[in-house]
Amino acid sequence: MHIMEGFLPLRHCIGWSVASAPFVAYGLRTINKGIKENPEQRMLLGVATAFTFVLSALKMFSVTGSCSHPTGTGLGAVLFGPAAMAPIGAVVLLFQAILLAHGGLTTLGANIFSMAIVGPFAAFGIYRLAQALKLPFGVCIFLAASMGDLLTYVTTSLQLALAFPDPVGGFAASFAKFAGIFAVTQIPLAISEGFLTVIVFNALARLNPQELKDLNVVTAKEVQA
Amino acid sequence: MLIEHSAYTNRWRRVSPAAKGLFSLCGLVAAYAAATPAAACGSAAVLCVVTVLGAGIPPLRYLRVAAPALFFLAVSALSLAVSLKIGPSMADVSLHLARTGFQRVAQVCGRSLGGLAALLFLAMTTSLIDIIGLLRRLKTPEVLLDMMTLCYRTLFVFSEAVHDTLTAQSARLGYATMRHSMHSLGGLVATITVQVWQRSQALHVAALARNNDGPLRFLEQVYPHSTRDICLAVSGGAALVALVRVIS
Amino acid sequence: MKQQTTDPILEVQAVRFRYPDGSVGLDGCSLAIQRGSRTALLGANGAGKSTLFLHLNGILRPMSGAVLFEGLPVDYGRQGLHHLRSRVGLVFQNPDRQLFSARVREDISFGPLNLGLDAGTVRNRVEEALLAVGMTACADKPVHNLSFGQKKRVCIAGVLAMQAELAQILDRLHAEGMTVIIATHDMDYAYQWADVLAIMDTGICAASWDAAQLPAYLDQLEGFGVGVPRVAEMHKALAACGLFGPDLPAVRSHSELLDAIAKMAAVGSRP
Repeated sequence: MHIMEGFLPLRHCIGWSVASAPFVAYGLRTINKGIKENPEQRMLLGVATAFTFVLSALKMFSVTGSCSHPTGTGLGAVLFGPAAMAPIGAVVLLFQAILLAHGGLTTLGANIFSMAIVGPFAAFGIYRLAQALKLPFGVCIFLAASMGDLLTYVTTSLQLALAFPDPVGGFAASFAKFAGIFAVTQIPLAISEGFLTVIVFNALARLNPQELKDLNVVTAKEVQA
Repeated sequence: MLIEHSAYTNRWRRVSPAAKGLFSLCGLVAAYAAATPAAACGSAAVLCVVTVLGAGIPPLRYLRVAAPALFFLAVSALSLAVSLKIGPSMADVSLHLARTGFQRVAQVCGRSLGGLAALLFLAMTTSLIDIIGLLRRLKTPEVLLDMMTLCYRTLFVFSEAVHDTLTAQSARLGYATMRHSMHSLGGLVATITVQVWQRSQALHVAALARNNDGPLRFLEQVYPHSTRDICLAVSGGAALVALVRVIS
Repeated sequence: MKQQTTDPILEVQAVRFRYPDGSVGLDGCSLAIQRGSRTALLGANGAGKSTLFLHLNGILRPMSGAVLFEGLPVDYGRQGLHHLRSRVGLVFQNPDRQLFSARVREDISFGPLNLGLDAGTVRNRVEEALLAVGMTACADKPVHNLSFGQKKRVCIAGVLAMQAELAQILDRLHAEGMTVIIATHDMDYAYQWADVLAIMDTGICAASWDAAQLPAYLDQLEGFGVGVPRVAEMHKALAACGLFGPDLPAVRSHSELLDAIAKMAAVGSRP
């Protein structure tokens, strides 16, 4: 749900950047604290950023019929925590703008807000809530991934509606319009991303339960010298 | 990755990234400073010509890189032009073209084209590693720089792993049906996920072996004629902004 | 096992190490690496080759036993590790797990900068190291556009750039020689290249032989499951046919064997 370069009016660009900045700063502080306790987190976050970038470039082509990409916000938020996802997402969005001309520099703040802040925090909140309600693990993951996706696109629609209110119907009509247009592609995408994330976690459980139990621990055995 | 390829092969690859960054920034300023769509399109055209003729990017490649963004812009413009009318009852919803909004749509399109051309100028002439170096000089937080450096290096490692696994899976009919696709893709993502921890642990050990005990330190790249290039870029950029103000 | 009496640069004495997950890395491993020697470390996966390497560079710390560098126990304080790692370089098997930066020169500069050297010195060392591994021409390419072998050379350059003494002697490598240890599964290559073959087995150094004396230990070698040099096997078979005398010096490579056969044939055809 990238808003392209130059699409938003200047005031909105600045406004969304200002809104995103504290989250990214908070994420960086959390990361710095983590690195102090556990120096290998420095590498983990860099590699996790590359992982998120590559994940977002994966095509779920045969699933939805069209060329659609998973956002990875749900998976990332559960694996790395929502706070870390703000800086991770910021770097990924910057890279997408520069390497793929996808999104833009002026719209970076707005895109960070929807995809690296609202998406991951919503996904993580829903994941925790579902866990507290003692729902099965698969359901928790499904809800987190698909709702994270949906709320990301709702946020983008909101951003566009705020920037371009309808001349007649105002903000509400504009929001309904953008949300309606995106719904066509985003609702099936959110559902498939939810299923995909569940499958990923199932496969992870089969591959290496240790990593799911304690996400920061990796056995030194795996080091290949 | 066509942009990536251009960044390492264009004529201006050794030009100081500060100069190219400033010129690109001027391009963005021009896109926003343009009061009429025509002026913004003019700025886009100038940037496009500078990129293609100056940096020596093949025009066809430039178009191929810009095409997805242009398509996206067309769809967005259409959605801006259309207006949703909600009648007295909820069932009474209709779409119509908002005539009054036409000027606004043209304005946004012009600005987006100008912005896109400025972004493409930077992206196609400057490698990401140079941009990270530039951000380092601009005092970006160290952790963020480390994340970028590692991400830029590792994303190619992961892309290769993804590509190989996809090929291996497809060769064994992993994507023959939708059900299979989902499972294959899930398995692929899970494998890569585990690699996140394995690879970061390995990099950590490699960093220790080379005496690292904190932020990653690298030698700064030296660019010849840096001052001259920056002066040229700033005057060129200022001229572009002035031109846009004059024609609008 | 041959008794080492000369001057070891690195030595591990009865080192034990267990990973946090409980698996055994080293189980009382002892081995001495002679200064200027070429040692090949052979062993199955999980035999402890990597674990031993990580001990030699001070990344892992023995739970019992000792690691000696130039005759002195390694000091695991900041200064001590700094010293050890500036002298003992480590090149990993897979370059993709070792290179941090996509720019060749940046990655090579990483180690020397960590040593606290100034930018000018580092710049010189980077260029020297690039020259030494023959990568100067490729230095402007991003790492992801390099071949596997080229990436590997960048890794080696990264280690070379940390050690001035090493970089200076590199062109005279054969004359003066630096100490090199490799871990490998390739027995044929190890036999041809190394002075010393050390066999790792379930966390201990099970044997350490002079390569020249290996033929005498072929039966023992077979028991370790690391394979037997094919050249040595063939040499033995030919000796069994009576083509060679049993006391002939060891033949280490395919071409040496061919030469020996040709020589024998010449002797045999003489009236």
